[in-house]
Amino acid sequence: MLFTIFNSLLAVLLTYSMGMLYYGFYRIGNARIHRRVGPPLWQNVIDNIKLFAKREAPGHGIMFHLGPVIMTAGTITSMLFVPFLKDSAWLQGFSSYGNLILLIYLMVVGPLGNALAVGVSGVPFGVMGVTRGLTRLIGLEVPFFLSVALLMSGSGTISISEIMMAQDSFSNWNMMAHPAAFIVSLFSFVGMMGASPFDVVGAPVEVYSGPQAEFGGKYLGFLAAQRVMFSMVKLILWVDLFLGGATNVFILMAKSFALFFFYFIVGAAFPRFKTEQAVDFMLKLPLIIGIGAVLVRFWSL
Amino acid sequence: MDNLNKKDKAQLKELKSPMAVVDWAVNWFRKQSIFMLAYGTGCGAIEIPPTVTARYDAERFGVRGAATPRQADVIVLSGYLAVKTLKRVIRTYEQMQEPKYVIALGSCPINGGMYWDSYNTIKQLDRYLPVDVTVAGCMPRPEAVLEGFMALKDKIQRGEAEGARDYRDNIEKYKNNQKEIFGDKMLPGYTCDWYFSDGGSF
Amino acid sequence: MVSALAVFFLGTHKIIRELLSIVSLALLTGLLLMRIVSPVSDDFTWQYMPGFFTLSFSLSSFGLLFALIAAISGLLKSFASWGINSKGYHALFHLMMGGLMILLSAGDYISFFLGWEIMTWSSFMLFNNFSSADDPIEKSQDTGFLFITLSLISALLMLGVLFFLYNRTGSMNIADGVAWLHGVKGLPSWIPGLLLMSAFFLKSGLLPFHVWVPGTYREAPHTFTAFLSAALSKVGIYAFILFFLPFSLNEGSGQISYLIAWIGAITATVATFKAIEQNDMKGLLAYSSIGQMAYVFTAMAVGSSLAMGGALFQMVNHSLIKLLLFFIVAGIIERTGKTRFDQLGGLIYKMPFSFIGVLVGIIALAGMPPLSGFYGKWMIYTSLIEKGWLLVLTGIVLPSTAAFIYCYKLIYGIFLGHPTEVNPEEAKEISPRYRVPSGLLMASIVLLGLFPGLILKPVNVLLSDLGMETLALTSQGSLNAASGSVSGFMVMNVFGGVFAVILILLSLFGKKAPTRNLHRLDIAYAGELPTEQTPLHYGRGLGHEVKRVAIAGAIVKRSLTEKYMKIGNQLGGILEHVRGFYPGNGQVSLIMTMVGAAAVALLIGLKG
Repeated sequence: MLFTIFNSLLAVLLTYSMGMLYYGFYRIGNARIHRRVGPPLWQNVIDNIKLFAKREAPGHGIMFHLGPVIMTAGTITSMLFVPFLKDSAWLQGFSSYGNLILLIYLMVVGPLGNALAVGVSGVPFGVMGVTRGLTRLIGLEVPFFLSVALLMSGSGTISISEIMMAQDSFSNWNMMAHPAAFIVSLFSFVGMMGASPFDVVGAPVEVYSGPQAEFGGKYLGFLAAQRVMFSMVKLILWVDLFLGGATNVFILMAKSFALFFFYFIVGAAFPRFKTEQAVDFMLKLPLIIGIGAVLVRFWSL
Repeated sequence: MDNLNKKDKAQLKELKSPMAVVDWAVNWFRKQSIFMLAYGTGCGAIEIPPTVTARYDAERFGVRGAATPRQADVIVLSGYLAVKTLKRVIRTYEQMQEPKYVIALGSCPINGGMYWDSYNTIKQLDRYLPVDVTVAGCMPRPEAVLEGFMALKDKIQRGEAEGARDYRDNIEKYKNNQKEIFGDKMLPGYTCDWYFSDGGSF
Repeated sequence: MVSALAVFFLGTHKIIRELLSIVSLALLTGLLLMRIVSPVSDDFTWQYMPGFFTLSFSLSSFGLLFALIAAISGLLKSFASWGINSKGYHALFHLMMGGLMILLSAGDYISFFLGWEIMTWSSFMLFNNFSSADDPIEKSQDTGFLFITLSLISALLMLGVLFFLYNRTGSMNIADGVAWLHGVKGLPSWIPGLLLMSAFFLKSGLLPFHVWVPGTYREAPHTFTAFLSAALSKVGIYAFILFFLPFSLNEGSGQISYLIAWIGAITATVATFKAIEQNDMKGLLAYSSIGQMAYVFTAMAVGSSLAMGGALFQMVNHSLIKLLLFFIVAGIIERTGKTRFDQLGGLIYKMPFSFIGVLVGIIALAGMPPLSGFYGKWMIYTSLIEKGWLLVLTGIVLPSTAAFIYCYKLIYGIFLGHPTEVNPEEAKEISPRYRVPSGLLMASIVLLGLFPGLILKPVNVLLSDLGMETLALTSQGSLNAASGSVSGFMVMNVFGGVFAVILILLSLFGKKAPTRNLHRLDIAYAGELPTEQTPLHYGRGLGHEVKRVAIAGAIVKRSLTEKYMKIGNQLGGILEHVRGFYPGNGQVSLIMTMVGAAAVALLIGLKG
């Protein structure tokens, strides 16, 4: 038990530092694309600590207070149900008690908890952001579910560890074994990471940064910290599912950074979809590829 | 950047008590990360885009934009302020979270500038809001704006950028001054009542 | 045991009526519970016109489950509606309860049909005569008409098929008919099967027969709506299990199962997008009921033990959730007199209990992990993956994701945002009448979330009665499937633990950076000053932008109800002079139809 708790803390620290590092890179990379110098690599950490060092925070009652807590708790809980490494006792969290379907639903708990706080703050822009997020989620989840369902039915298990274990050599990586599922999932991946072209939820000018509009000080600090951790959870999940998992932290970082780089390139290159455009797009191309893959799989036999 | 770091190190060596080191560190984080709410009031609004984009790149000093006043640390008022605008500015300033700073650009917020005899602009911003840094000029170029940010950072590091505390302590004075120009169109009570009491906390 | 209840009701004094109602329902619940503890056989038969046919009653384990759901819902409902019912209401309610019990324990066609009709008619009178709608003249035209017409179609379909079966088997026993249905391959068994199925779909409100549901739910007395959703909508499922479940196990009927699974998925999609569009609380919950019932049918179509377990779990869960939500909504309507999202809002700190109740309800309704709703869905999804029906899975993921929007709309529209027409200073917590049953329901939802395995034991009994494999049960806290397992106990504990740690961390910051409680109008609003008149509540518009998504827009724009009404009007024109035969009163003519049908039944019975 003590080992599990220690591991959980380790997972939180690892994802936090990885996330801050990656997003530091993200900001510098974006600056270089704009032909700027850009901030130092650790700028995100500084921003985060500064937010925690604010002297006051706005509040709208106890529910507003609990929103960021639920959000962070949701993130960390889903982190603990993802196994980070394969063939290792370390960084497994509670993943043996859960599975992929549970994780997909756990990932929505935090945002919905936070949506309650957004609602109680009474900022209409925040609620608009939440609605946009939930609408976008329709588009993201459907192709994503289709692609992971292909994986689960292909490997005959819904456990993430077992899916990861089954990919023992490069040719058995799921991105090789199920290329269509991988391609479909990448669309959802970019959307779930909140990059352009799927970043309409927190649009600063249109909806005043959306769900975050009323949060400041320590609340914003928590939200910023959980955001980078959440991104890392998704990266690690994709590494586990499609990129063959990792046997140690360095391989994990290498593989997840490759995915992060893809996300960064897409985000830097594309403009923004409107909400309904995003959903329509996701329900067209990725869904058709996914359905095609299912048909090929079940009717060519 | 190198100069700044040397200066920081020198300052750090002079500190004696552990609490002073903590305060110094907190101030260092505050000055290294400044979320800016650019309130484009007058002609100075045009100076902000070059300041933050490729040419002058304010982000390398940790200055980046914020979307709402709740998230912002500094409000940049770029030029003259009509009475109507001032009302929104005060509203926005009061919604920011402490510690918070004000940078005023151009001569208009200092003494009215070329609008010295206008019937509907205010002449002296610091009668209504505590200004931490004013950047003179008509208008100040982006270099000057960045220089203003540097001055603010110095002030923060020294722990002297406490305009917000000043505003809270002398709220009666500021509110009276505001009332002089707004008259019966004064901001409603709910926006500032908490300045007069402790405000709830948990 | 059964018919004793149906004839119950003579009390004239109000309190006596209420008391009798509760006591009799408690008695019924107790009797049913006793059946579980000591499974005595109380099958009995009644000779009707000796020599012709026999009414036989026996309560199977499935019937028992449904009867328990109905009895407990009825009990809680009677408690919640204490003292607000007018005269005659109870008599009808108990008549309906009796009909339900007859239906659930029926062993032959006559008693099955009898129970079905008693239930349908008494529930029609209940919602029609004791309607909660504001304008009694305007309302019951469409709703009542739809309900009557569709119920009549359903009854006639069923009657026809039952006679057909009787004709073929020469026996009034349901078991014989079912055996015949499954014994015969091909067209002869398909057509009566499909017709019968349509009748059951109609009762559960599946596409394309869902049109009666929203109006009925909206206009029924508030607590009766809870009962409608929690117990009566399950009757279709019971009948489906009774007649068809072996169908989906039968290899030869793969296409039909697949079709039913898709009907479930499409119904869920349509109902979910319609629910998002609703502007009143009961309408939203009505459409959500349709959607949730559809998952049950999809799961039953899959037919594996896991899927069947998921279907039963989902069904029990849905009863708990809908009772809870409808009770609280009834309480809110009673306190505020408002039913729509654009009239409510900002009540969270005035009605904390109801807020938590609705929160628990929507978390379970949306199928979020820490509570019970997730585990039913988990079983359904896993069974779909194991079966390989990935496209159906996609088809039900779409509505269950979209369901987040209406769940959020429900809680936002009532409790969050800004107050609109209800003065928050005057708003009070809902009355204890509603609070007590809601508290019980909340506790059971949380308990099932903590120990999802609790439900497996009864489910296993039912599965073995159906001749299916039982589900593995390792511990009360977890569920197992061939391809993986999930531990509800761990999920709840991990989430709770992390939540507590972060809350403590946050309160540590509280010392250095206190939270300032602000006025509700003191919000980041682009520097502007919102006033009390500024429309800040987003209750009505929330979710309307979903319409701009192509698929949702296409669904929302079309209204099957209107099409049916159009067909109905045209038919009405054609049948204008046919109608001349009748006294011009819909009810009388229907009764005449019934009498005619009964006469035909007797004739056929005499011939046979």
